[in-house]
Amino acid sequence: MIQNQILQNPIPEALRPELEARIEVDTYSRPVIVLYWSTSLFWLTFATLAGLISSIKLHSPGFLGGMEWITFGRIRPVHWDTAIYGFGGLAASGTLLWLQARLCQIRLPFRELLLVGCVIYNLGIAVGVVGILMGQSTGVETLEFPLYAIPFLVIPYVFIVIANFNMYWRKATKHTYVSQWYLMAVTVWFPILILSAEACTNFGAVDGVAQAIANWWYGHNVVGLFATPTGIAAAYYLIPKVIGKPIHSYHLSLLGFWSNAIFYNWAGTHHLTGGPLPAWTITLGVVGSLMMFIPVITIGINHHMTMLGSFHYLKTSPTLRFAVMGSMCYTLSSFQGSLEALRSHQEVTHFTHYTIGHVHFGMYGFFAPLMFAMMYYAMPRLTNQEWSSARLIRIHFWCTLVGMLLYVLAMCFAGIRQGLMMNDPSIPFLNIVKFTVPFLMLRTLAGLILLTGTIAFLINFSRMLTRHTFTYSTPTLFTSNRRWEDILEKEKELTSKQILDGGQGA
Amino acid sequence: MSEATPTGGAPNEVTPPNPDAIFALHSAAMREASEPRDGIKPTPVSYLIMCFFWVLFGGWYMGYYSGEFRANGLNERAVGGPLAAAPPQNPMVLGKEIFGPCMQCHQETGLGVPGSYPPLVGSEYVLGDKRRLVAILLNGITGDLVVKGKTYNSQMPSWKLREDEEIAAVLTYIRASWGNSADSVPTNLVTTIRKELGDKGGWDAKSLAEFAESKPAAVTPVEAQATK
Repeated sequence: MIQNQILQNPIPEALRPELEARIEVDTYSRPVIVLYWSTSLFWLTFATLAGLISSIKLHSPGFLGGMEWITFGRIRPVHWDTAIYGFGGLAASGTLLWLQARLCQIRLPFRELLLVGCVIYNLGIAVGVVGILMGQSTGVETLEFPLYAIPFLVIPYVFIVIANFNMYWRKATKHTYVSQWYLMAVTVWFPILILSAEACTNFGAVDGVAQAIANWWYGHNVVGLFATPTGIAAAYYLIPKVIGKPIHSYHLSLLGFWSNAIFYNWAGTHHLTGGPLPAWTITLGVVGSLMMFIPVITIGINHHMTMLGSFHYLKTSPTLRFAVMGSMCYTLSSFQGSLEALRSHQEVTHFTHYTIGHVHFGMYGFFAPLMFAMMYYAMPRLTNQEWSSARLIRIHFWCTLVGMLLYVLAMCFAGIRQGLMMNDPSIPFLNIVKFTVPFLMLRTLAGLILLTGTIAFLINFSRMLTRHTFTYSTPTLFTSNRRWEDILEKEKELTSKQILDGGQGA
Repeated sequence: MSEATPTGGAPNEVTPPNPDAIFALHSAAMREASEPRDGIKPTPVSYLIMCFFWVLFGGWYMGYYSGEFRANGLNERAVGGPLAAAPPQNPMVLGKEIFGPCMQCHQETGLGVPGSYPPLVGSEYVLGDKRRLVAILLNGITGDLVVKGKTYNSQMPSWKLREDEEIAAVLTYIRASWGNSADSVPTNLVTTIRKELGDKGGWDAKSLAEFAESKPAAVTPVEAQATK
């Protein structure tokens, strides 16, 4: 009967080219994007576990204490590097390639090269992780990977840059959508960032405090000019796409993009407040952070005004729920970050748990949910399969939200109190450490909640890869009650494909 | 998976259309809207004016906290004239801060641990010759040491990497806390002894005693002046 319905309702001719192009683009980019995203999820799980071990070690120092490979000084860099390069780099690259191919409406070029690149990149991260665990970390924060791992990470990125420019130059569309600006910008910014930062720190092109400046210029920008633009590009794409409305204002998009490009770059040095740097370099970082209010508010208006009047979609659409969570956390965490840069604020919160809370607000409240939203949206289109269980998506969402909020609130509160106590020399240091212990335990709890969410997502994701789910069916939404049991039931029935083939298909 | 690959091309009118392609086309049409577009809502002028003033504020802030853009200016509010020297810190307050790591062995009470870490309270080494006390802190000491008639055996590391001012402050602090009441240790004494010791290694009880009996090198007024 499905066959009859379809034949009786032909697609309007005017829509056909766009639809056919879309199907072709999605089908063609499938192997590449699926490989990038599935490996990114592997590193996400790995990073979460490494983070959990570091977190437990902070309140129970004896935990796994006998193993020198996973002492705190090694496992914590592994946590951050696998989170930003493993999960972040691969998820963002997949997003970048898929969005660019879709928005340019052309097939993904150099597929084989990109696949090989993905394998090399994963090898590079594995090599880097083993290097750090063996004690060969460079000791430069966020650039800890030993130098022999760097070529593995740079070469695949060259492939991505080439593919991205190639797509943009051959694009079949006339208009350049705002997401594409951010994607193009990332491919220009990130190589400059990482190459100059590596040159200035690990290769020793400059000495002394200039190395520290280069290090924090990079450390701040890897979040702000790599993860953030990719996240914003995803939000700019997903929000209007799901609710079927145009983005609020083209002019605000312009203002947001260029002010972000101009101001973010300067913000890094506020990490060195109180350090032996010329005062003006730190003030420059503070001003850069304060000026970030302009792009943040502008992008916020653009996203939230687009959403205005469409909030009821949050009840049904998993993609939208993650995307809106991401864009709201972008606004909030950026406000927090701008204020955090002020010297008066840093006097209290510098070198406390507050900073850790803020980083996770940005990475797990803003960037990660947008990458999840991207995967929830694109995977059914790439694989022609539906998410197997709405309940698992629900678990993933609530674990992400609750775990993230618990983490951020516990760390920020503990950080402020810790900072105030540390500024009072009459309080013994040990008392301050004891005060933070309950909050460090809350953090471990938050980490466990986040891990639960990740595992729910992994189950859903792997069921899609192993084809234990619905094919060519209606989308899995929060309002549907699709469960694993339904799939077992379904496997006994004919698939829609078999119906179309008259029951002859495999 | 390959079975489901749609051809994507225009359907041939002669042969019956590929059912996969038809189905893919329908599911693509049903499940999503067209690619997103840009809206053209105007930006409020008031908002642009606010952004403009915010940038102006940024410029003022940069200048106000620039420390006159000096390469060696660590104080963001330094204005005019030579750089003001940091005001001298109360050595008792600074010393208490510096004492943090010392507590691990000598304890918060300054009583030490019997057998391993000698007490600071009433110790002849703390209250006696300042020159010997500074020498212990700078180079560290290892092996048997008799303090207040009891023998202690452990290792004290060198604290050479600390600033002279910090060493003087922590010594002043331990000489005047927990009932101790000896006079303060001046910073220039630490400077002199540091110079005198050069890159000498750690002490033991014997070499320390020899050092304490040796004549102190004369502190010339010029050197003392230079350290201020």
